[in-house]
Amino acid sequence: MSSKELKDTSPENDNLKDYSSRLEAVLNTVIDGIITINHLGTIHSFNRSAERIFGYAPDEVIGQNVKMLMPDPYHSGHDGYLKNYQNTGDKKIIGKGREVEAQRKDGTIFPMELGVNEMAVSDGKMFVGTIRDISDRKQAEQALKDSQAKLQAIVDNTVDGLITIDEKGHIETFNKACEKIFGYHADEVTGQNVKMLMPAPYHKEHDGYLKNYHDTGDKKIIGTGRQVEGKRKDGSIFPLDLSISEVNIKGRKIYSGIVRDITEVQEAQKRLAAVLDNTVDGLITIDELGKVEHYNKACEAIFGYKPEEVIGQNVKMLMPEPYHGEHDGYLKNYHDTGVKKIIGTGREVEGRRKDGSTFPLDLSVSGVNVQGRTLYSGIVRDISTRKEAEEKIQQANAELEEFAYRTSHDLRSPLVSSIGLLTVVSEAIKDDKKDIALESAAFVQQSLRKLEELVKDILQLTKTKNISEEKEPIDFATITSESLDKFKNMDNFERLDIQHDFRFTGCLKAQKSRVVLIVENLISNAVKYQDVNKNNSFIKISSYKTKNYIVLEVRDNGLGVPENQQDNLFKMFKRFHPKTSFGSGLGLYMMKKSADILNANIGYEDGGDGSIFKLEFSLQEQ
Amino acid sequence: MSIKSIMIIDDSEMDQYLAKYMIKKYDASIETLQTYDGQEALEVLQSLEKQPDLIFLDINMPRMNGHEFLEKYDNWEGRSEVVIMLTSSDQEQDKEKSMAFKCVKKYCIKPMELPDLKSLITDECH
Repeated sequence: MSSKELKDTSPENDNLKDYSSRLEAVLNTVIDGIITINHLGTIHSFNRSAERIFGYAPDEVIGQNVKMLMPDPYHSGHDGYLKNYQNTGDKKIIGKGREVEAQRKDGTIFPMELGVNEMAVSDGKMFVGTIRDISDRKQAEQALKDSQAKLQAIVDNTVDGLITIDEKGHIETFNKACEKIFGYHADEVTGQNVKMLMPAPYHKEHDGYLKNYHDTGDKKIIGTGRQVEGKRKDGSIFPLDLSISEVNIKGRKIYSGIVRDITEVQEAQKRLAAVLDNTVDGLITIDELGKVEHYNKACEAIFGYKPEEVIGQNVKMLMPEPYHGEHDGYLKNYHDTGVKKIIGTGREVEGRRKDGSTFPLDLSVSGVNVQGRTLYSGIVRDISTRKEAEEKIQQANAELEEFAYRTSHDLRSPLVSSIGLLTVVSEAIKDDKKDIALESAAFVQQSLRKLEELVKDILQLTKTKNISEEKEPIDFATITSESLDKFKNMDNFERLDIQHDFRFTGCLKAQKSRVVLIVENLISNAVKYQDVNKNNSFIKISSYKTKNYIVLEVRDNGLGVPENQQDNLFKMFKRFHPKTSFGSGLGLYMMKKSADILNANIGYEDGGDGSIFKLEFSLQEQ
Repeated sequence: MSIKSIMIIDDSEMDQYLAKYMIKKYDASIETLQTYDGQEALEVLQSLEKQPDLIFLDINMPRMNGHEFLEKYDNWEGRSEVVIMLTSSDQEQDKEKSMAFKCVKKYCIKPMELPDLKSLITDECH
């Protein structure tokens, strides 16, 4: 129609023109693309947005088949769709919207939302397609999906379990770790009340907790971590570390819980505690101020205090003076100066037991930082027995040294004399002085005899120290008579009056050879050191019982021991009488050692007019 | 000065015998006094009008040994100036202890041979 023709028309014709242009304007300003096609698919109109979306100018598409805008499979199928609709009237896309793919002029394919409507016009049917390029939307959707997938992956792969519940306690999410921890599959728990995962008492109380929080806002567990118990699908109960936070999502409150199965951790802790508790050495841990935090079983044995008596108290209660008074000072000093006095090194100190007794203690201290606090950890060892042993060794060594010194002298002396005397002998023989030669030779004999005695005694002494023997019942009377029999050939034996008085009739069990040694020594000494100037020399051997002891006594009226020597009596190599001293000087020493082995006491008393030797066996030991 | 008397303090009969034999061999005119331990020696020395010119002193003796004797004797007025240790001990500590006493002049180890005795006495004479 020409514009002139239009002008000639009626006012309705003018309105139509306006209307048409208005319509066209509308069509060209909508954002969506609008394409109209006829029943054969020929494009009739193609609005500006369609131009923009597809990249074609209207004259490139109008009159063409709309399938040029479609990639396969739509491209090949479109004619068929149209025909099918024509024949069957079966609305597939008409009236509905659908996501399809379209192809731009430059060949790129993009996702498109398509809405198709049917229009009846004078010469048949027309289809109007509304087109929206949804590439961006699709990209956003994908990005969202990707990010969701990432999040889900993270949630699924945490080691810790993640549970979210709603305000009423219903489980909303339950990650893979939770499945592993509780043994349930996510499907079995989602929607259920979370208390199904709890044993008593939590099971009953949980609803109450939720309600309480809802009402009061009082955060009991929220924000903090706590150790609780969980219940697995198989019914087993296990220790659980739980921390909860509150999340507000779109006006809804949900609770998010991180759960950790701490069975193994607890086991390890228990094992460690068991180890610490059962060390042989004592373990004490104190804080910076000296307050005892930990006190293991061994400490109980060492100090005598039970843990409850010590834990919470100041560690100085375990120390005698001066440590007791100074310990606070030590702690403060270290705290202020950082100068390590005992930390890191070991030291011998003294400890004080519950019963008040003090004892030597080997102490080593280390400092430990635990969660920002400084603790001191001490290992204590009661070294009383060690000290005793050390002392014994020192004593034994001292004895050994003295022994070596004296033996060398006492062994050499007769040898040296003998050498000298033999020179005299040979000179005398050369000078034809027979008397001198004989006298000297006799001295040599004497000397070497003494030497032999000494060697014998030394051998016996070493035996004395080493033999361990069974205890047997002791009969003093028999042992005495056997000894007397042994010595009856000693010089001046026959002039002695031997008296017996065995009053003890009970049973005494002891190592027989030791008793024999002592009795023999006492009797032989009494014989040797009798006072030949007295007419009534006697030896009295008796046995009796006192309040605490069983006593064997050998008393004489012989030469005695000079007062100022009485302390030295049982020491090695002591001889007390000039001229009359014959013997190695070891006899009394050996007696003392034997008495020690018998766990008995051997003592000397000045009899005023002679000697009294007593061998005392403690009654308690029997 | 010549040596006229010597005291031998030793608990061993044999060592006394040997010492006496050696002295008599050197000079039969020398008087020998024999005591058997520190105690006896002190008693005898106290009773003497004239102290012996020379004293041979052993260390290891019962009742009162050589060092114990010296502790007493070293402080006596009018004591003999010359004590010669005559002992079988070759221990340094014994030697040191002995020589610490003022009156001890020499430390000899048994056995004493004639040449030793000779030089000892000639030394003391000067």
